[in-house]
Amino acid sequence: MHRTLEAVQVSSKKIVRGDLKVVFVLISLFLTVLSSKPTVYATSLLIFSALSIHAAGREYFRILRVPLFFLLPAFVVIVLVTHGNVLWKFSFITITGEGINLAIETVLRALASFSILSYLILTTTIPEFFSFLKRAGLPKFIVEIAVLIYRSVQVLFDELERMDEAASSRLGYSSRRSFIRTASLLSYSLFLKTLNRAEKLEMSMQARCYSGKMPVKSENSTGWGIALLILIAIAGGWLL
Amino acid sequence: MNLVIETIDLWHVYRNGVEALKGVNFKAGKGETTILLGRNGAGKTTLLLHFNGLLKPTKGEVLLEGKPIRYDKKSLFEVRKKVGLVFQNPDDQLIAPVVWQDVAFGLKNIGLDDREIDERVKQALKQVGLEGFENRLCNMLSEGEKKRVAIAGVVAMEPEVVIMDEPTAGLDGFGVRDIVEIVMMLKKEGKAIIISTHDIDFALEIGDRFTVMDGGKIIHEGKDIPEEIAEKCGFRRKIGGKLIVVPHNIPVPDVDADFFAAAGDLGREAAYKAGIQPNTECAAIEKSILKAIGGSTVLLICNAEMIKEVKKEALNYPVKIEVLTEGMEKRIWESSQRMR
Repeated sequence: MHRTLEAVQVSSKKIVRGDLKVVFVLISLFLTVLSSKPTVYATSLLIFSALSIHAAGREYFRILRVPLFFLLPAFVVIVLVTHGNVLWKFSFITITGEGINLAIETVLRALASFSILSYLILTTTIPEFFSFLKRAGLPKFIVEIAVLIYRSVQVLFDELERMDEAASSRLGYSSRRSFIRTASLLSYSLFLKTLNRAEKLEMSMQARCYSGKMPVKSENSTGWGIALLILIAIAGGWLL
Repeated sequence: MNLVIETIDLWHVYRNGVEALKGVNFKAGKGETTILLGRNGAGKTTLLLHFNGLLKPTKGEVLLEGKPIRYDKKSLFEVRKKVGLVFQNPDDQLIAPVVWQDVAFGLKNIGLDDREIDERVKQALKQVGLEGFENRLCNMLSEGEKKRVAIAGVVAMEPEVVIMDEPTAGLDGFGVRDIVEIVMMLKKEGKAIIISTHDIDFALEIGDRFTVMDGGKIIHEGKDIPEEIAEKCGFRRKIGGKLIVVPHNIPVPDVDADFFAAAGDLGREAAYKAGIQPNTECAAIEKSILKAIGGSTVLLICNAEMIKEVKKEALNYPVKIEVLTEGMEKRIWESSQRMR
């Protein structure tokens, strides 16, 4: 059984911490995306892949698989449809030098951007991210709603898992027909539970003196040196 | 008793017409643990929700420190600062996704500054044995840990009254032990604690006063739980044997007991007078209780002045106790004759 993303986020090793981590990742992302140089992409990909592997080990490759499913077909399509100097031709299929260059550049840029984001994903929980956004000036009510939704999703997801197990153990998915019936019953029950959950949440908030405030924890920012070094390395790629 | 919470002729009728409370007169004192017992649907949770102002009585009133609770926003805010409620299901109570954030929820809302919030959260988590859990996500905690976080959220508010609805539901032995320790700690701090539970052993371990509810009414209130009430309400308790206690000043009945004991000079004298050779005369009360726990029928003859002490001691154990009074010995003798 693999670990949930939340479990990975909580246990991952963090070289850079606090708000600095989010800011550092966002600046790195902008520097990479806005650049047109493959050296910048390659530098970012290398650095953030290393950081992600250090943070969460093979979990990085697990989440990397998803974009690869999109990137590989895109690579083939770009290679085949781009005009330029023909390198190889077979029937109506032509491969051009420009096509290969463009495909490599695109895939490299996408992978570099993804590795940067994956570092953020692997090391930052949603509440941590929203805490940063609140301090960055996002209206309080949005943060509050987001935090409450996230907590409700956690509870409902656990609920769904339990119901799903119950349905499986009672042969709820034994045929296509029963699958559809079970899925519809499950969504109906979950909808009712959502309403019930909203009522309970309201009651709990009232019982705990709710007056429109949601606390957010601020973690001290650490890892300034390494963050600065990495940003300099990426910016250095622009000059090459 | 220094009353903290009191209800006077409290009635509650839900919108669907169900009468959950029918004239409840409940009392809870400061520094005491009041246990609310009763079968499912007896009205325990409905009563608890009134103490925090979450439910408004249909009739009657709830007094907090002698003053009736008022239901305007400001008054309720003050009530909820003083009365903390721990829900049965921690998932219903944990509002925020991170432990620190959840424990800090109430503190932030009553307007404390960040430094004090941080200190109180740390202290509350330490009190419930969850030091270092600040950054953990709530959905990754075990049921027992979630329950303790829920309690920490209430403890951090430093309320005068702590109410817990079924705190041991769904917990294993270690989880129950943790809750017992937390309750003892709160009691030491002088807080009034009101706990609703089905767990009779847990109740006996921590309770000072016991209130038993059935069908929306209080059917018993006192410092112990009589066996007939426990049986009537279907409390799960493994009952061993029976302890028949006979004071020295009434005739000893002819009972087919497995074990005979005599305590006190007058008790021993009465036993010899009745022609009974006691199995033990030393630590007779303790040995009698132990034998009864083991499933034996025990006849204990003792000084009349010791009855209260014997009863108090025996009520802590899963033993059926019967104290004979004048005239009763005749009935027992008749029933044993019929059995023969």
